[in-house]
Amino acid sequence: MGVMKRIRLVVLGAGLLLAMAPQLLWAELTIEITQGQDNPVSIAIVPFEWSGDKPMPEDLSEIVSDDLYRSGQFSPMPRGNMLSFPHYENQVHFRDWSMLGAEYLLIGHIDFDAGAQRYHAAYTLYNVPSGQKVVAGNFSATTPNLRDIGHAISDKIYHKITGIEGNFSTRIVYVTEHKIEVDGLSFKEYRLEVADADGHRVRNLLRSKEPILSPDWSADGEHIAYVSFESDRPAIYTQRLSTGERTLISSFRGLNGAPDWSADGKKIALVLSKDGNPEIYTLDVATKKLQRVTRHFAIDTEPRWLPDGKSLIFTSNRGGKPQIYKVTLMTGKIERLTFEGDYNARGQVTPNGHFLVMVHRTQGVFHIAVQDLRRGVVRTLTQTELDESPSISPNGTMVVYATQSGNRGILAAVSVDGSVKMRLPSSRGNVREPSWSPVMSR
Amino acid sequence: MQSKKLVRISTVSALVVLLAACSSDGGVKDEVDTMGDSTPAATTTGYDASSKVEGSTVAASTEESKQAATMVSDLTTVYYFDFDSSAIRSDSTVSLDQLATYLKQDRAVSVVLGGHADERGTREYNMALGERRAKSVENYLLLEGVYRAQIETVSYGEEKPAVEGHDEASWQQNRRVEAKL
Repeated sequence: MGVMKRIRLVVLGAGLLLAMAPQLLWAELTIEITQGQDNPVSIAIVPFEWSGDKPMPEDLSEIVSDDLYRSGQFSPMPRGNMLSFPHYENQVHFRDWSMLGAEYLLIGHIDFDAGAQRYHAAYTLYNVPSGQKVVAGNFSATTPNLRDIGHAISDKIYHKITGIEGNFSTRIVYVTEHKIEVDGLSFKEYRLEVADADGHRVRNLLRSKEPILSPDWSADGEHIAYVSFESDRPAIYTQRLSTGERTLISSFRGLNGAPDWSADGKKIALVLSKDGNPEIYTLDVATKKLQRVTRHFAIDTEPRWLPDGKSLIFTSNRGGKPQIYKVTLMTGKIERLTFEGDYNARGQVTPNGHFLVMVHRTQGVFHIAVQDLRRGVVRTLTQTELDESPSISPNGTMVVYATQSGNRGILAAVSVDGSVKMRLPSSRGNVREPSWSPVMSR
Repeated sequence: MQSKKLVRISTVSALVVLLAACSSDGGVKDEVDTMGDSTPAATTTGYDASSKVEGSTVAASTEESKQAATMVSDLTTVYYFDFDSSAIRSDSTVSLDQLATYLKQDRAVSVVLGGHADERGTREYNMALGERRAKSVENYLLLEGVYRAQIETVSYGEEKPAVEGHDEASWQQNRRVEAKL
């Protein structure tokens, strides 16, 4: 897995910035599985046939294989173990694949349409014991979007075999912090970056010498809201991914923090202390109308919409210690959700409404934990330290979070059931504040 | 965005300020005075890179700084807190009383109180906690007779640690309010 590390030089038109910061490099994240499921599904992914004269810019079958491997639920067969490389059904000998222990077989072929400058990939998934076709289809893309084809095939296969929507075509936004040395002096540079869920295709959204935090996706995946200290005071901005266009949406006196976009995209929940105390508000994005949600002398922060859009959860120390509460917007009724431990914060509820994922302190150490909202049971998911900023995948199965490894901040992920664990180390700097995108429309 | 940033830093003097205010350990430090003892308690760690350029050349200019601003240099401008607490500790009250006295001497002087938290716990909760700490100091000064108009508060949460370690000694250094005059 580690060989997929790649470093790119950022070419800047801005000469002065370049002169100040000669080490403007960023690295793609790598993914290392540290714990997978006990009985992963065995699948043989045969290298796709490619009829072009030049090599393919991307190895699509490898992208699919890596996606499925990284889910922790699949065990792709090494290519070296394969007895043949079929591309069409009449070339498949199911007995061979059965003998090799494959439960599923994926074959396919790729063509290039020179006129449209598009790659077309056709794939077919078979169940090996039955010899039956499970799913077949085709996707096309231009060169820069070629990896999308691999992820789309992975999504199809994952969905067909597990019954759960695949999230391989999603992205993660996160914040990096680098030290930059100029003439023996060092200062920090903060960046807001977006990468594919597999860590590839890193794009920079913002660079600043002041901190950036709390990025959050709009429901359509086209905007990111975040907190930036670029004016030396916290302010909330939204930024359109396609154009880079930014809008300052909140810069009141005091705190402007923890933006969380509603599922219908119309509102952003946020924290403001303009009235003297950190309170939860909702902001109507179109009308700019603010609505105050909480009124309490304690700290109220980290609002998150519940899937129904009618209530929010938030962190409050109104009981003396930080705990997670729920507020129903229509009635203003507030109920406490967490009771185990003396620090529960930054909660998010899974799309099915069943689980509350949060930062939870046990024996003085901060872990990611999940509380079953129907039974009340709390389960610690991580064993690392200083774990924070959990963000749930759109299908509700995985949680990406920030943790420490050595003296570096890195991202890691764990499945909500605790069975799969992985690390996403970056080759340099501190990485933190991950936020998982919604499912993007292709 | 990039063009805006370029405007902000495009003058040579701004660049010099930025570089000069950055100390070699990565923190942006203004060593105003060390109070005659070397503990960090007496070091003002600035959070605004655009001021007090003399920071990185403090050794050379200490003498004249002392003469020009003896009162300021007598102040302790960092106040420490317990974990998840914004209560003023008893070991800060003497320093805060001195700060109040100084601010009452000249009502034209103002102070920015920057509230900070250690890295433990969530970032946004720590942002609120940092504000709480800054407001605790503000309230203390108000009760001592400092005018509200002389005080501004800002929270940096855990985003600007004074010390970068991951142990209790470092965390204690980072749970602080810094007064910037």
